[in-house]
Amino acid sequence: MIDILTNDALVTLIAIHAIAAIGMNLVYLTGQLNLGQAAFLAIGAYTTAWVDVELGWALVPSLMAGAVAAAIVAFPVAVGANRVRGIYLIMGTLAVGELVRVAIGNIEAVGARQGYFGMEPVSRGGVYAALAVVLVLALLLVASSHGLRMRSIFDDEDAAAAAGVATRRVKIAAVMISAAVVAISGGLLAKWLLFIAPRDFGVGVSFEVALYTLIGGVHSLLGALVGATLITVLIEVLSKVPDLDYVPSALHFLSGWRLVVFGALVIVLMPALPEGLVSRRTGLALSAPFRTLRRRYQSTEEQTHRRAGADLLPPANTAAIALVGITHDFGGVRALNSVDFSVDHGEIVALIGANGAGKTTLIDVVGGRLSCQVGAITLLGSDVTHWRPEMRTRTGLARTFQNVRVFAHLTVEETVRLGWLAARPGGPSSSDVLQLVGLEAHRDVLPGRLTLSQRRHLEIARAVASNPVVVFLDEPSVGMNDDERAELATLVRAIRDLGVAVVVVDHNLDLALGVADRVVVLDFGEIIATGSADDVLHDPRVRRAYLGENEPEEAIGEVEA
Amino acid sequence: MIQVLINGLLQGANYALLALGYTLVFGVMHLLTLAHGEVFMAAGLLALIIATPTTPLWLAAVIAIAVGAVLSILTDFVSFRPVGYARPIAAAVSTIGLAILILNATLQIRGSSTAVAVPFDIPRTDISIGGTLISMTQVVSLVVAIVVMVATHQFVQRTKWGMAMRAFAHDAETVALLGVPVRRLTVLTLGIAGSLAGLAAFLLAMRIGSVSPLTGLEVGLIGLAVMTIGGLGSLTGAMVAGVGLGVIQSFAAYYGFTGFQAAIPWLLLVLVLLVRPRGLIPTAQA
Repeated sequence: MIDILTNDALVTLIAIHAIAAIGMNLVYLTGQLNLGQAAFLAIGAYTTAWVDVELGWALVPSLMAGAVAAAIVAFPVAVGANRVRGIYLIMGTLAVGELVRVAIGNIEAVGARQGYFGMEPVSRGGVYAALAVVLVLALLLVASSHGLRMRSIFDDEDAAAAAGVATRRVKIAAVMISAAVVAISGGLLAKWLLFIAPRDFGVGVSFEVALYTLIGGVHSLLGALVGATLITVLIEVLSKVPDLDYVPSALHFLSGWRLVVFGALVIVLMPALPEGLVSRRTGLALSAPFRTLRRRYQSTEEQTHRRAGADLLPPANTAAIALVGITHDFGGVRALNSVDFSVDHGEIVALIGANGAGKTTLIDVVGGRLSCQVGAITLLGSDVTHWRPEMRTRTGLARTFQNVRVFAHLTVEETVRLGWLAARPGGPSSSDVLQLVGLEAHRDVLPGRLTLSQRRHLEIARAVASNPVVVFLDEPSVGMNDDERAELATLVRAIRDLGVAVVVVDHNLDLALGVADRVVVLDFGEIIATGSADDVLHDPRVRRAYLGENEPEEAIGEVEA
Repeated sequence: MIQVLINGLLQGANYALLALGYTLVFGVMHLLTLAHGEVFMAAGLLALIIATPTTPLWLAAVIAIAVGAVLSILTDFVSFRPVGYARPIAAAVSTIGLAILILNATLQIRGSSTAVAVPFDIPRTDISIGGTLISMTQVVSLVVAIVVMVATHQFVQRTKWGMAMRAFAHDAETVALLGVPVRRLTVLTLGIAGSLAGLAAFLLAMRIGSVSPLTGLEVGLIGLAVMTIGGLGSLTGAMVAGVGLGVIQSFAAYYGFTGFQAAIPWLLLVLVLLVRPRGLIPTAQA
């Protein structure tokens, strides 16, 4: 066993596979499961081989040529991939894999179906050096702000956009970076095997590369290394079984059956470890030693950013946000009808209305999750009506979601930091925000360990960290008890005291009316009343529409609509 | 020319039968089975191995269909249930494992990747359509394929179990609460999908006279492409896309585009995804 594992050829092969696994990891990290990596492996292999054989390029430039070629081909693929999600994305990438293979099989200059050879061999040291460089760069990327943005998309693309992540651009970049890294693996493979043919880059290879990451675990680069090593060693060791004296001959059949064993292993592993061998928690534990270092760096960065905004004052005489004539139809149903509504700086507005009144639709239109059909939205004086959600966030519009949408694989601290990355200058640092919402004791925890109330606070913290002009809270008190609700009210006031306008949408009238400076009542998509809590509660139209005309006042409280 | 069309239709029916299986499983359970191609291959291969020169055709067909159904139901027990229906990616990965297992076990047991020939005689009566002689077997195959596809569609649309399947696709939890035996439902869905794959494999054997162990990888993936082209979960889409693709490929081969023939399904897929991202006939749920 040991003699096989210390076999240089095996270790080199592991290193080549590990590079492909890292490439796969970098794209799946953004939630895009690319099942066509064989295409980029092939492009890297053939480009590297061709510039080597025909132009006599050295190792590094020829690998770079492969990486660049793959990134170029990946661009249209990435743009197309952005239009689809889930299975359509998987199928689209499978298609790319097959198309590239067929195309290469028709290019006579690289031997077409017969294969291509004549390249200079790569030394083992060259392979290891390439792995080291790729690994270090990948680690830096994943640990960077950009890496945090990538990881947020894995968990929830809509919430990432609401947190100010330019999801489209990040995803396209990820496909291209991934293709380049996979192509380097392909280039090394070509110079290691010294003979390549289109059949070496079939869909089975794409599956194998995907399995490195899926079995190893996507939430840590260690997972990619573990997955690639495990699979390569398993197949290689099993193939050598008959050569080992200490393995009884009854087990020699395993050599031929190695892929059967591999398939069985996948079947056994997936239910046991659906996230792969290296879980997010293990990844967190591994990165723990670097936490202090990272915090120190981030805190300096955030202080500088804050000072840069110290002189910025909110423009006088402009509302924080103004909506004019917002109308929205779903098919034939009018969800919003010519809604006019504006919020001043540092004002708390409660937006109430029965179920189906159009409250969430309004937030979705304002936040940009739904495109605005009719009307205009002005944020701090700029017309943002047709802006992408992340641009609105970066300009000062933050929101939370009705069904709490936090990022399952980001720690509390990372989530708040993600919000901060989209912040306008001059706002609180992410550690200030953590303190404000009372989660600093839980900063290294994943949201799965938090209570519902804490997760709501986390989502609000993410919104506040972006230093918004106005923040929309969609039913923040659902599922909370009275104590938690009182805490939430205090938090809403504290946010207001930062100078932020807050719009609270809630079924719970105690909370909404208790904190609000002004109450706006929506009914069937129209604003039917606006004013102080007292005025609105005594407005006959509101009583009819929302509370039921003859209800005694005592019944006001938790209105189950 | 009619022969080219018939070849295309037959090839297309083959794709459509496979795609129908994928789309049934995806439409009902929202899961992707990447082992379906190998189920198809193993059903055909095993039927040809079990059959003797005296086996009647219908019996060979029944064997292929039965093996397809059993292997497909096995997917539920080996991959889907252990992983859980709520984890689509892990479930799909597990079926990749199953596909690798079936393919390589077949290769090891067979000892080679050579095709298995049909042991019995394929009837060679011809009939004349518009002056062209067409093999009776091909005509019968085509009719059987069409009848089975229409019957599957009607089953899902009209029967009580079909209704349960569509309801399960919409809201699995409520359907369970309403007293529908959910486990039997998933077995039924995969059973039908596997039977269709078994029939497809038998018809393939009748058409080209053999089944290769490597056919699952190639044709299985094309079936998957056909499902996506047709629109996820759309039975009609799968049939239209499958038959359309078969005919296009057949004519492409006739006009000499052999080098790129393998690329046609994937080119079509990319085009459809770009122009109609939800497939030719989108369904509400996809």
